[in-house]
Formats: sequence, C-alpha cells, structure tokens
Amino acid sequence: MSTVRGLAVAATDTKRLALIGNPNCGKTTIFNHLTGLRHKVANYAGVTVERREGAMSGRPDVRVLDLPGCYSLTPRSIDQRIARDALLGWAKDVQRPDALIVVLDASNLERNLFLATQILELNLPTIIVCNMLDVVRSRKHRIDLDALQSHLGAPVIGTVGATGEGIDRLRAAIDSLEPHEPRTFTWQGEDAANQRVAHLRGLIRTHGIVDPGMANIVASLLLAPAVLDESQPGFANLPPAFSSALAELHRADGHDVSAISQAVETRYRWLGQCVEAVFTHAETTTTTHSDRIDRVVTHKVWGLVCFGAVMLTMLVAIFSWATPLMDGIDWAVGSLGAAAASTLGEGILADLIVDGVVAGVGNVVVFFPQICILFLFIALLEDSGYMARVAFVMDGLMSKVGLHGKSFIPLLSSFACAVPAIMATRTIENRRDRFTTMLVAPLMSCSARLPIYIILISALFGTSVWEKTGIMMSMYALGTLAALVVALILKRTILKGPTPTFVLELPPYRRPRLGAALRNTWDRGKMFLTEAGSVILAMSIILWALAYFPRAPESANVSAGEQLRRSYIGRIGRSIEPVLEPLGFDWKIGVGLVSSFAAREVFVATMGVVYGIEEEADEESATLRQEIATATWPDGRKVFTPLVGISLMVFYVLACQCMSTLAVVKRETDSWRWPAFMFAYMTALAYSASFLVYQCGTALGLG
Amino acid sequence: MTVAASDRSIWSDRKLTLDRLGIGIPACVDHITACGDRGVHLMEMGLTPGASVTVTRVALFGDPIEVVVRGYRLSLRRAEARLVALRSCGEGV
Repeated sequence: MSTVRGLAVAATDTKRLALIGNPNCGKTTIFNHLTGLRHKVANYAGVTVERREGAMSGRPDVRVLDLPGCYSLTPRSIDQRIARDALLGWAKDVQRPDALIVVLDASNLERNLFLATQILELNLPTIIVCNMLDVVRSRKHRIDLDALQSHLGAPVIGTVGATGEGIDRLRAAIDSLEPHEPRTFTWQGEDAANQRVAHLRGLIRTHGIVDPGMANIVASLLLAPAVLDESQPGFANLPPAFSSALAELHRADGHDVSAISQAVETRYRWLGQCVEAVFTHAETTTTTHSDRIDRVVTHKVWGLVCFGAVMLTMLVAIFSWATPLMDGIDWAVGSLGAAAASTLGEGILADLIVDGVVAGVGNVVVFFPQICILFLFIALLEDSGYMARVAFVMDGLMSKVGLHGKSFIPLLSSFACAVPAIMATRTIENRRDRFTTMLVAPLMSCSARLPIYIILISALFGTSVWEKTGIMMSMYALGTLAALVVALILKRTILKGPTPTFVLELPPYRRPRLGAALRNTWDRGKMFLTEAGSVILAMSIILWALAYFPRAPESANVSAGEQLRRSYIGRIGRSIEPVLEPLGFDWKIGVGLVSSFAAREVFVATMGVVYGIEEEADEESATLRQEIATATWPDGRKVFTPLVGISLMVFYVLACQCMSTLAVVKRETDSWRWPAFMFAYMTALAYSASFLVYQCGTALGLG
Repeated sequence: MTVAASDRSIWSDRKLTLDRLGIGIPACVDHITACGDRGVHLMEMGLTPGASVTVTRVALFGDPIEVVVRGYRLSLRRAEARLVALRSCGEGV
C-alpha cells in the first residue's frame, strides 16, 4: 500500500477516485460531469448515508465516489465520519481511494482550504478543483490559480460547474496523474514539535492503522477525543490494542483539546497568508444577488410571508397534488386485482394474489407520489439554499422542545404523511435529534386519519359546522401537542445527551437545478419501494391471512361479516374486547383496530364489512354512517355515543396504526428496536388517553 | 458617527462575547472559551483568534443569530456565540 500507483498506468484493475469537499461547493455537479448520468445511489453499510458512485465516462477503469460533504476531517455526524473513514481506509465497505479530487468553492476560499490542506496532508495523489469561478468573476474578484497551485503543491484546475467550463482540463489532469512516490505536503505547523503528536504518531506507525504518509495528519486529528455518540464508535474497525492506547492517552491528558485548537489556529493563520497571496478582492463591494434575495426573504414581514407561502405550497402539494396520482394508483391496483381475479377464478390462490399480494403492493406504491413530491421540494429547497434559512428561522421555536431547526420540515410534512417525513429526517445530523424527530412524527395527524375523523364526526355529531370543525381542529391540535411533549420527554430521558451545537452555514442562494432534483427524488423513491416495500408487502400478506383463515366451509355460505367474525382477526377482536371495554369499544371496533394496523384508512372499510354493508364502504357512505349511529351493545345500549366517538378518534390520533411507518423507521434506523419502541409507546399513549377520555367522560355523565 | 462612539464604548466592557454584539458592529475574535469539541468546531468553521466577525441578523424568535466570518454566512445559537470572546479589531494579534 505504500507505493501509490498513478492513474496513467494502463492496468486492467480499476482505480478508485474520490471527490471530497465542503457542503455546497458544487461537488456533486462535478461528479455528474465526470460520470455522465450513469451512477448508482445506494447506502453505506448499516447507515442511511447515500453512497453515490459511478464509472468515469470515457474511462471505464476509473470509479468515482462522491463522498459526503464535510468541513474538516474531525467528524461530527455519521456522514462526515464515513467521509473520513473512506479517506483513511477505515470504512468497512469502501476501499481506500487511489487518488483524490478536492473541490473548493472559489468564492469562499479560506474556509474551503481548511479541509483541502488537511486532505493534502494525507499525501495521496490529489487534484484541487477550484469551482464556482463564475461567482468570483461576477463579484469582480481575481484569483491567481497558478499561485494557489504553487502554495498547495498540487495541480489546481479552475471550473464552473454550472456550465462545464474546465471539466476537460480536469479530465486531462486525471489522465495524467503520474505514478509517483508518496507526496509530502507540509506547512509550517507547530504540531510537529508537540510531544503528544509525536507519541501518537509512534502509536499509529506501530499499529499500522494508516499508510505511513498519513501518520502526521492522523496523529493530529486523533488528538481530539471522539466526538460522536458512543453507540457509533468512530474507531470500530481499528485494532483494539490501538483503540485502548488512544483512550489511555485521552484519559491521561484529561481530554485536553488545547493542542488541536492550536493546530486549527495555526492552520487558519497559514491559510490567511495563502489567500492574501492568491485572491484579490474587488475594489468596490458589489451587492450580491444573494444579498438582494436575503433582504426580502429574511425581512421581518415579507420574510414571514415568503416562509408561509413556501410551507403552504409544500403542504398543499403533498396533500392535493398527490391525490390524483394516488387515486390513479388505487384504480390501477383495483383493475389489476380484478384482472387477476377473473384470470385466476376462485380459490385460495386467487384470494391470496388479489387481496394479499396485489393489495399489499398497492399499500406500498400508494405512498410513492407523496414521497416523490416531498423529496422534490426538499431537493429544490436544499439546492436553492432556502432549506438552511428554514432551519435558521424555526430553530428558536424547535429548540424549546429540545429539537433542531432541521426537525421542522419533517414534522410539518407529517401532517400529510409520516412515511416521507421520516425519510426526510436524514438531513438532521445529530443522531439523537434525528431519532426523536422520527419517533414523534407519526403523532402529527396524517391524511390517512382524515376518513376516520370524517365518518365518526359526521355520524355522531350534530349539524353545527362549528362543532364539527372544532372537533376536527382539536384532533390536529392534540396530535401536535403530543408530538412536542413526547419530544421533550424523549430528549430528557432515553435520547438524552449533550445539547448538540447548532452551527450551520447559510449558503448563498442559487438557482436550483430541476434535473438534479428530479434524479435525486427518483433515487430516494426507488430506495423506498425496494427496501421498505418488501417489509410492507410481507406484513400485508400476514394480515390478509389473519383475516382470511380459518375459512368457513363453502357450504355454510356465510356472509363476509360473519367470515371476518370467525377469522383470526375476528377472534383477536373478540378476545381483546374486555381490554377495550374501558375505552368504550366493542369487539367490532376491536376488529377494525386490529385490521387497520396495516393502514388507518382500512378501518372504514372493515367497519363496512362487520356491519354487513354490501356496497364498498367509504367515509361518504350514508349507510355506514347510519349503522354506526344505531349500533347497540347486546343489552341495547348504543355503542357509538359521541363520547365513544371522541375516545376512538383520540385513539387514532395517538396510536401507530400504520405498518408503513414502522417499516420505514426500521429501514432508517436499521434495527427493529426503534419501530418496536415506537409502536409500544404510541399504543400505550393512545390507550391511556382514550381510557381517560371515556372514563372521565362517563363519570361526568357525558356518555 | 454614532457607530464609532458605540464602538469605543462597547470595548470598555472587556468581556464582550459574540452573543451580545450588536448587528453591524465589526469585531474580532479574541479567543474561544469552550473546552472540548464545541470550541474546536467553532474554530474549524473559521472563528479563530484574530478573525473579523459581524452579526448580520437575528432569527425571528431571537435565536439563533447570523454572522459573517471569513466571507461567508454562519448561523449559530446564542449558547454557542457566548463561547466566542471578542476584542476590537485595532488591538494587537
């Protein structure tokens, strides 16, 4: 590993090239230019950090990997740790790259160079790409790339990602990366004199944890105690002997960071001189495009108007633009089922395919439009730079319940559907904040609860529009309040930890690129279909079987309602009746609850079946409304009093009656523990709240 | 020049920190008071001793704040800004 072969060597084995840079430096645009549109998106092993990789176009022997953006080699989030581990050869599923391309935002040179000089100290063959030269030119600044090249001792290529300017020169530079001895980049740092660095360097060499050329920089990086959560050890793949020696060192110096602070300061001082030498500021400062936009969108009044408009558009889009698509999918799944039914005739196989498999696939695909629309919005907002402003504006509010400004978008989109919302928590870097957001998102009333609210409210409550609207609003308010309170509790108990830092770059506004956003959306949607989809499908089939078996003999000619009563789900419903009675529910509601575990909206259809309604029941169904309004207990009392209606709605507000949500949480956390916890706490919460509502209501004589 | 006047008076308070710096007043980082990674993180983002820094905006709910440092915009909570001790840019490095 000590001799690094350059890329010019004609060899049959593939060369690995990694792109690294700060967030918002245009790295992915450069990646797209190099790979064309042929790249694959997957996840790194065990984490939901996107791994973008593809062959360089015209050079099938060069594989390009787009590493997550980071500001330094000291990782503070999972994706930054992956970037560092990949560079050092510590990652489980990524081989150490043979050569590196560091992308710089030329309009923000000083901070971008901080990472670049750390990367250069890895002493791998490296090309520096000075991107966004157009921004520098438009501000009338000047940058001397030759001088930068001689300061850094590595080839520097100027590019404009938006137009593709300079990409040819970059390709030529990649082709001519020469095989050479490991480079040695040094600047007049002070850590060389530091005794602890020397000691660490010795340890690193002894244990051989990185290439000898990297020992210097790695030693100074490891001076900082690991800052990530203990549950995601940064050094899991290193020899235990080294890890314990390192821990010993940190203990001995009392986790002192003065040496690393000193190193940061010295590096910036050196960079300041370097930038002064290569970068000439314009004599007059021009008001940038971004400043002008910011003046409006962060204005006290107009800023709020803009913010409200963007958020409202996003919600309306997920709620209503998705509806025709979802109806289309429902229709397609229905016709597919009908076609399958007519081809297969009757029998268990036909029922399994039609009611189990096809309906199960339908349950998965029906989320696709909402997921795509939300992700398209998020991609456009992120690309334009507005996303960081949303976090900036909302952080003051979210931090009151211990959350992060970035939790706002996922929680807001949960009003439409928790599934894409949970996937959207990926932007939250801190693991505890991310998990808290995920765990409370399903408490926000999603659109699938709406049919249940509608049928119960219209069947049980008077004609006053105000009364009906009031009850509906209270359900939404209850969900939101519960989400905030639970978040606060989670952050103080099981997800307790030091307050994460909110240190967020507000990147300049840029015109979002629709093509890139669409591709991003498609990649994420596809990942949902293949990974969460398989779990949802399996659970759909299980639920189908529970409602299907045991069969009454054909000769018995029982109604669908009677068959459901006799099935396993019916038995479960009846056996839990004693548990549900304190909530005011009878076994029929119990059957509805169990069968709607697949998806809440199934409740309405199931109620149609148990009440023996011939037509397909939905929330508009007058017959079902009548049945609900007149249903009685064996002793003649009414089942559905307004109080029971409230109790049932409260149950649905708080319970996790959605296996897709659980499947997505499983996928995002890579463990069954969290979805199990989510289901347990939400069910307990729902049960207790319904119990309180019904028992207090009865005691007050409201029943 | 009111800015200059206030400029002089704020430096009579030797313990001025970034969370209390008014909007638009130029200042320089003197040192970071945090121990542990929080301080290293702030420094890596460019808030090292000697760097000039200006507060440009305060978010709707009073927190976080937005500053310009090393030519880019950074937002941070007041709790983090409190760790950045300031000095007048005229004073020695």
